[in-house]
Amino acid sequence: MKTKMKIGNQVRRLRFEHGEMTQQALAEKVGATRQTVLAIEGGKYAPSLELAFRIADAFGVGVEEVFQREYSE
Amino acid sequence: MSYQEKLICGQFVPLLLGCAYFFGVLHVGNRPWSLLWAIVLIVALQIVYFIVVAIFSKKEERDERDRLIEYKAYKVSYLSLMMLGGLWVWALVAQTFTTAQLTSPGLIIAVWFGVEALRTGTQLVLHRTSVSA
Repeated sequence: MKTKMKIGNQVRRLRFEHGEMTQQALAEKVGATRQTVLAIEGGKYAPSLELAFRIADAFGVGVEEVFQREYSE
Repeated sequence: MSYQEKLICGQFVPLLLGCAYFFGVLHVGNRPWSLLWAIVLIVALQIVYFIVVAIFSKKEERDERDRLIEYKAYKVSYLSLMMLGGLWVWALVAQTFTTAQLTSPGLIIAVWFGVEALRTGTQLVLHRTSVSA
């Protein structure tokens, strides 16, 4: 059976660990809209590599600490 | 409703009002000027709507997700327009309808409305649900 890959993320946790940063503040920092940050957090949108790196840079961590692969059957 | 969603509605709501006015008031027979009036009304309403949104809403730049949603919605409307175009050519060749019927302002406005409704609906749904490249 083919396994499906989903991209999970730690954006919400990282926001709270960085002084309870708001979605709006993160969006402005990475050059996206608040709706996009909301969609990423909810797993409804997988960002481009460029945006993923920008988000990781905003938290000062590596991209793998923000986004992870999640496999399901 | 986000700024982008307001802009999407800003293209559709005036079209809805313009079409309602066209079919309710202007559309009497096959007068070509009624199509022109409807287009003028729709464009004027869109300008007014965008001015109101610009005054009362905080401007947000479009990002990659907005562009992806727009691309997907335009793809849906383009494919439906191509399909309708194919049907139109078939109807013309098969002489199912008269040329006057196939070039009537009512049909043009109805196709425009249908395709725009599909595009707007797709964009609004994708803004609220998940979207992937």
